[in-house]
Amino acid sequence: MEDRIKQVMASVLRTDISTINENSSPETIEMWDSLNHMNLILALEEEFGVEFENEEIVNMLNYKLIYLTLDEKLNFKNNP
Amino acid sequence: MKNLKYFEIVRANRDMESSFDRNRYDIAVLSNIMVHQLKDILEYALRVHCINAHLKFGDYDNIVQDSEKFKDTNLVIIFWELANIIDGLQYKANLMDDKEINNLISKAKAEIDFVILNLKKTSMVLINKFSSLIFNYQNLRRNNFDMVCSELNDYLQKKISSNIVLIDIDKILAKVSIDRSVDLRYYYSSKALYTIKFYKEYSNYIKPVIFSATGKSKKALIFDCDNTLWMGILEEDGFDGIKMSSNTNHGVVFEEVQSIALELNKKGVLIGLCSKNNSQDVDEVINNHPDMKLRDENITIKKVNWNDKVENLKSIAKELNIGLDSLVFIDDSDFEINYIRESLPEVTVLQVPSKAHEYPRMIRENIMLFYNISESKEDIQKMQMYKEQRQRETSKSSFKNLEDYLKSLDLKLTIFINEKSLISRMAQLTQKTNQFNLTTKRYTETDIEKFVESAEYRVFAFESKDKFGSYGVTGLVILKLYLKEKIAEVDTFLMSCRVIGRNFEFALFNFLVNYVNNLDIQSINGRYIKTLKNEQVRNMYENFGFDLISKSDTEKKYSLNPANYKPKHLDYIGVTYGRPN
Repeated sequence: MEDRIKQVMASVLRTDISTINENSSPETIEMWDSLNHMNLILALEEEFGVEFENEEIVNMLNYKLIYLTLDEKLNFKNNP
Repeated sequence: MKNLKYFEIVRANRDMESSFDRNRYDIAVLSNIMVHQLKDILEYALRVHCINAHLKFGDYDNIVQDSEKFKDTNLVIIFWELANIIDGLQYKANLMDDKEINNLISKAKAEIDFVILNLKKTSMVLINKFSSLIFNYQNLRRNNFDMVCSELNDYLQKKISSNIVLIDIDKILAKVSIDRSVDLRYYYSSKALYTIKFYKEYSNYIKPVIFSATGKSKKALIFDCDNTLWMGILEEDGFDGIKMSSNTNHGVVFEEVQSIALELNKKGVLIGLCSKNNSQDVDEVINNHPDMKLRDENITIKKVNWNDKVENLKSIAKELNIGLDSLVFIDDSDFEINYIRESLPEVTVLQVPSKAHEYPRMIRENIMLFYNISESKEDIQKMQMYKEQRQRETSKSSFKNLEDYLKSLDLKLTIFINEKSLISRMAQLTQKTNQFNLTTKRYTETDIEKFVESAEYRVFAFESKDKFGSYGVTGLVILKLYLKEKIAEVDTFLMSCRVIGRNFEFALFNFLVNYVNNLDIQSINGRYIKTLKNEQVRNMYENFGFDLISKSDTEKKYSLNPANYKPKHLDYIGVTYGRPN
């Protein structure tokens, strides 16, 4: 799953996959502005087949948080 | 693109960014909602067809101001969302009294007028029709929101200029479904209304308009025969055994397909056959079968033989004087489909679906490949001209040399200068002519109108005739004049393939030199811009006697002093000024 998240982030945020680490955030990635944040969320929703709540969307502001939110979501989906 | 995910499209689009060496096609998207996911999706949809599209967005909710700012771009697309003309109109409208509604409508109409005025000279504009469907699809009765919608749409329809195409958003919503087209979470939080799925379908829907404006529409529809034009195999089932009428369950789909092809033919699309059959047997069906809808007069070319279909298709393109990429070919056989797809990737190949009832729908889904933004009368007359062309080919063989033959043809050129009634045909010529075209500049009717009305330009259209009949308006020259500097620049010099090889271009050039001499022009400048298709005019200017000024891999620049011009003696081509009928 880590790799899939990084693929999506690298494409949408127009950055090299090698630059993405736990701390990657709008502060460290130039193209991660509010417009691209929305694009990123949409792309993740499409890739993983989930839908995020508004509160989750505004919190997913670095790679680690994205990973954790997705993980929780997918676990809930599979084990409701 | 249908099967790619959004992040894959973004990545693929970025990879294509630098792979173009050709002209940019700039698109400006103006909107009163957020539509930024459209960028990568539409760019990609066009770039895979070799259109170097670049999208930029106007400022949020600045449609009126941006219509002034972006009017010189190649294409303007406007997303004018009804629900956001004032924030929350979808519910506020239904609480407004008559006075408030009328004020709102008047204000919107004034803005529409202003936008249309600003964009009058823009090459091409796409405006989405207003829609209330997303919010009102459940309603059994119309409400104010619906009423504002239809009133503004009627107004748009009345007021649009010829360079504007209205896009029916409701059709796209119907295809994708409303639920899959909109994301209300994002609409309420950031006014981003539409989904990725919607944008993909939208891009697909509008592609034909852009293809037509960039010279990429298809021109000919070529059919296999057995199980493609009729149900059954002619050699096995015989004349009486094949089915294509509404009298049989399965035959009816073939009647529908033929009828659709007939409709396209009436609009100027060439129809042809490429089939492995005995040609006499097929002719018998075309001429005499009571259920055939396509008849001999609708079919411009037939390659009915036992030869390789790839070679047949190449011959068809050559004989019709169009590129392989202008052909659409339909067949039922997996073998032929795969063979042609692999050997001739430029040809659009469609396979007859295995479920008969899906066949007419498949054809309809692909009809827009032939979409032509400048449909003119010429298209209707074109069939007759192609038939006349066949006659000419046969009479050629009895002459000793080309010049004798040309002399016997009674060739005539009629030249129209800045002729308004030919604007549509002239624009069409720039969009469709690829081979005898020195600069391959594509223009819309609005562009041509600008040139015709400008004192700096002269637009020459010419009609050519011979003893067999008229070829129609088949050539175009656009000159840009710098009268103070005494320079004339050839912006466009093109001729339809139908009239190549008769020296019309020399007669035309004699005329043009004479014309500019009368304006005291001392230098004519010309350019040959190389494309994949115009190799045959590479040395045109050298043949006219121009001096080569500079040369690069993609372009040659020339100059000629008209006083030094040595006219070619072509007394067998009569040249006159024209008044069109």
